[in-house]
Amino acid sequence: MIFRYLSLYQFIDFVYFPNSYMDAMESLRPDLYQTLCDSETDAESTAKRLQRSVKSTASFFEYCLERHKNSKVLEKSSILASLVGGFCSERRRQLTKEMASQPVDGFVIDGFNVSGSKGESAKVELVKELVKQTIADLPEAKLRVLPGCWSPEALWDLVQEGVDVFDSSLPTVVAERGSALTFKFCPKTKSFSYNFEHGGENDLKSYEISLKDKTYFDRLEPILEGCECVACKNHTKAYIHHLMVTKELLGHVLLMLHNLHHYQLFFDKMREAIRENKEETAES
Amino acid sequence: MKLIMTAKSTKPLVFQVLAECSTSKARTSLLTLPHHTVETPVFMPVGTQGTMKGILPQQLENLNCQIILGNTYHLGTRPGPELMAKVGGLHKFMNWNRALLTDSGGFQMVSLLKLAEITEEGVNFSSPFDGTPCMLTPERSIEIQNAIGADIIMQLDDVVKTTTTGPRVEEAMQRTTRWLDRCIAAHKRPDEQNIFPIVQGGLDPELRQQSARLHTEREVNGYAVGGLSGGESKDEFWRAVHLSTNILPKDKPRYLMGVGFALDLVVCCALGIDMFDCVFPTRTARFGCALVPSGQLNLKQKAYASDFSPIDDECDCSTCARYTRAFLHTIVTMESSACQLLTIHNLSYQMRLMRGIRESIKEDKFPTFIQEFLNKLYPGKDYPKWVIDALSAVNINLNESQ
Repeated sequence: MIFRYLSLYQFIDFVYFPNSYMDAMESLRPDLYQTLCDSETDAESTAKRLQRSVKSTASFFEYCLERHKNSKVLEKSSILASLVGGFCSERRRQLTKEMASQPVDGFVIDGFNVSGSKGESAKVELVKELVKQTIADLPEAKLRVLPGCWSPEALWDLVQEGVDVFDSSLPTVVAERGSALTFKFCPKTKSFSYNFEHGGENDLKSYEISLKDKTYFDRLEPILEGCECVACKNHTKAYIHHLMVTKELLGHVLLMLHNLHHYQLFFDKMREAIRENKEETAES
Repeated sequence: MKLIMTAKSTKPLVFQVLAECSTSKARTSLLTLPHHTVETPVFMPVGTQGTMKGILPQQLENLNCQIILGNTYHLGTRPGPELMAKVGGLHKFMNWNRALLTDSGGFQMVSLLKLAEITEEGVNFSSPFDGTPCMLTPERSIEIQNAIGADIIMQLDDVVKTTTTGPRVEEAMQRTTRWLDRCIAAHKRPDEQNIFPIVQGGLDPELRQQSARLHTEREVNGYAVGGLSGGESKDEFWRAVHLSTNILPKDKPRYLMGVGFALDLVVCCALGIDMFDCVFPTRTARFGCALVPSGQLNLKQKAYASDFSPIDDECDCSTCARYTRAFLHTIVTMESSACQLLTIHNLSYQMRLMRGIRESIKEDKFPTFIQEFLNKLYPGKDYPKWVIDALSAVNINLNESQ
């Protein structure tokens, strides 16, 4: 499932001022929001940096939770605790154990620095281990959110670890570079298949095609046969390629319409795959 | 309005005047083209490269756009006429099922390319991509336009700036007629596409009359009035339009090129024009300006930061249904969605304006419509002199405060 929720990335000015941050939350009244945190850490962060990030995050959390409890305006909003600690297993475990028993509605597993295309090239195996470890310490009944631009295969792995909520970074990042998602996921076999028939030089990743590639100049079929999105039902690769070449806004619009549609379907299929799994387990 | 087609017409253009204003030269008509029947007077938005910036064809239909423009110079360069022909034309390429009009490419050449040189053969220029010398001839322009497949195509004309005087103006006018004949001779799809000639002659009434007369001697289904969208004074402008519509036949559509400000549209309808095109409403949207009855709102201005009304209370477009001026203020010129939201509103404004004009002509209340329109635009009744003169020339006298 994908969600639009308010993450701290949109509030750069408020990063070190939890009172301003909570003032903003009260103005905006989101359905869900994560507590202010210091999550700008990655695989290269030093121990000292990670220590500071965890300490600030815990302190911000206390402040945010207190404000939230006393806020009439935020009564209907769900508060999510931010969990940080970079790629350090110990630091993460420490903070997670502290937060797990807090009176929040869920948790945002942050601090991997995987926004934008960084997510696509992140050390996914490491992230998976840390997510697995984190979720093991979290209450079963509460929401787990993992922001980041994960590849479809990484995402399926993370779903299987128990993550509930992701964001729309991948379709957006892919559209921004002029590409369309074309991967397929089969709920029955739980496997992925890719579209290699065109062999465009500029196709960056297996799960997409680059509409900027000259290969598509005169291709009169839609981005993906059988796709029911506005772009595929009404337009051809040739037209979208033309829009890319002429740098027309509609090109980006059509790619976003396709990518978001495709991504939503992927989530439908993952949910179907999980339900199938449950049925199989129940039967055996 | 339900349109009933009886026998399928073999003519690529049928023009039926529904009502005439009993005071001015305005009329409202149905212009039946191969892809769509268009209600006139009509404003045609410009979708230069085969797209209206950021807007889906479906959204254009929802806005009641009936005919749009494509630019031959741009489309002839990218994706080029060969692909256009392969795809089956611009309609199929961009999936727009209503009417299309293409210009000849000449105007863009002269305005975009520094080294364009005009000879009897055609327009000589250097390719903007690799500098090689190229030539756009009347034949080549028509060839590209045949591939694009628009319902109405424009002749290649010899365009001069309105501020030009002297023998060059007459030379251009005469050459335009010779090029018209070459265009007609080169046209391969006369049953599906209509060539419109372009009346030239600068600001010289004699030359304009001559140009119009020469064009009426050719077998064409409509006429364009060219060379009047920049440089000249408003007084010269309206007089040239008035003169042109007096000469051009009443039973065929008249298209005034490059005109799109609301005030100009209203006045020129009174002067007998049926079709207009202009980049203004879509371009100004991208700069953050919204069109309203009282003029324009520059949404970048701080005044709108906490204005929670829609752009226009009486507008029924999707932008005004959901968004406030305050929200638009925060995103104009920064988010691409602002471009789309304002483009939709501005197109909606233009379409509503034209519909208002048409309906009032049908009810024979066009002078009242004009007065009300001007009341909103000039609440202090300080109408520009050219507007007073132009309307008075067609028997419309405005209420002025003395």
